[in-house]
Amino acid sequence: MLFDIDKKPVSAFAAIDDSGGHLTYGELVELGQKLSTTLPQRELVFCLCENKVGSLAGFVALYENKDVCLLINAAIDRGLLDNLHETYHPSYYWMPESKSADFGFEVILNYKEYVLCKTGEKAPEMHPELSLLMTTSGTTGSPKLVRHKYGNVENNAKNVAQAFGWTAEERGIIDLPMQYTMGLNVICSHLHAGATVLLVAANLMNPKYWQFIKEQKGTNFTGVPFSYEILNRLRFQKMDLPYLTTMAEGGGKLSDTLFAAFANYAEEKGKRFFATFGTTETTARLAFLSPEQAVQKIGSIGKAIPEGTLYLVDENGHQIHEPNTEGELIYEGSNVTMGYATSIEDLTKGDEFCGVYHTGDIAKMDEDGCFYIVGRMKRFLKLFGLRVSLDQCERIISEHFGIECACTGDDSKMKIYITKAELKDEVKKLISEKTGLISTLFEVNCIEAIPRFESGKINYKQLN
Amino acid sequence: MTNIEKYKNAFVEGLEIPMEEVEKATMDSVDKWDSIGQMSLIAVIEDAFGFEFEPDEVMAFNSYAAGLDILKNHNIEL
Repeated sequence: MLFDIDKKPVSAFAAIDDSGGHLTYGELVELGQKLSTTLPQRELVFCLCENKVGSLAGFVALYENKDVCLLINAAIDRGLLDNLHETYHPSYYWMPESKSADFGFEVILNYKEYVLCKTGEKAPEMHPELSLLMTTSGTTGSPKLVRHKYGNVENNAKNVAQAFGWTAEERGIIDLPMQYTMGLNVICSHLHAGATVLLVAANLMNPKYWQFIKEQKGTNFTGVPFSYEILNRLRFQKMDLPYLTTMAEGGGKLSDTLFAAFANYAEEKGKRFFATFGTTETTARLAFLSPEQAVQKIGSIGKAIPEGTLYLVDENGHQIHEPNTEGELIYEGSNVTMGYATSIEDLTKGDEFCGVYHTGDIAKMDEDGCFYIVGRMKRFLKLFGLRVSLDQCERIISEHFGIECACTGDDSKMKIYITKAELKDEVKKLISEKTGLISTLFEVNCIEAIPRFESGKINYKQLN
Repeated sequence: MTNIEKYKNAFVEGLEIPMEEVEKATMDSVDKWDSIGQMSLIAVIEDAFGFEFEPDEVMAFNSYAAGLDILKNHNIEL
């Protein structure tokens, strides 16, 4: 069974959530068996995820039953969800029981406040190796999905568990959403180890969060840069958390100041600070910096995870061997996914990446073989750790208002350029609604004309 | 603008909710009042009143009413 779940002690807890839910490894096995008699294989299931035991149990059982899940935030805007539904025609939904009335589908199974519903649609044709679908952007509701193959989730869980040295004693805290690639990776790597996952729905600034992880003796924390900004604001270093042994960071670049602060904190307190790097296309983590080096190598993402290879190539695609030379970061390993889907037909496609992923990130390597990200080739930002495509935002604005528009900026703020001053407020409102992000993250500027090259392509350099 | 107006306005700006819903706003009832909402709401209030939230205040701030107590802690007349 997936992660050898059937070989773990049946009464050991696989997951505990902060609304009182519990799930044992034995229950996971039972749900898997139940599902195999209820549901055919190769159904397409939209999983509306919450950090609750029912959500996690459904994902594991459906995966085990060879159904293909698309993991989506349960709080997704209904219009964006309908759009995904129209694109991919799922045959089933796994969703919170509390939401099922809004859909009116036939409920065929009820489990720990989650339900399996039948949509009445016939499952689309899917490639036999397709195992899981994840969104590339949880925010703009883009129908672009990442196609995982069997082995991706399993191997990444195993290799990441090894990189961290997870044992069955861990109590991994997961407050990142489970539909977010790194969130899922934290869950899977702990299940692989036979450990307990502490699913937290309360956010870091809620006293319930801290009460829960203290009561449940959480040992491992994983956060995006924004999580570390909050921890810093809460003067985390002064908190008494004797059970916490490991802190991991990923999902975006932490500022050097915060990196150094947490690396030093961990060293002083005898805890471990892991900087990691991952992408949805590589089933999350592909590199990590060993905690012993954190203080010396501020800002580094370290080396490839076990069984993975990381290297740089120059503009001509030739591998770079000299240290401190910038090039595109390339990863090879069994966690590289098959490619993308933007339409229902794409679900029949086979492996297009063939184990090699061009990250689109510019990096350099030091004399010890540790990598540092220095920039990005692709046009997206990570606002609060969430990937937001600049091109997609341009399209949303241009199509909605019928105007010219250019989006640029950095991970702290998106800068939007338009030529009609009277639309400034409306553009800001639209893009905030569509991405579900606070409007202060968007700066709308009015300029005389959008600068373009002769080819017609936007000249972003002139805007920065 | 009076202090209470400034405070209410912070909710409109920081959480993007209509003015008429401000007084009954709580962390559980407002969708946007998640961790991102909390950080942006606090940033707007700190800018408007020129003080910094203490860590326990950050965590105690879970409703419109709770925020009024925090302003009082910082001797802001309402």
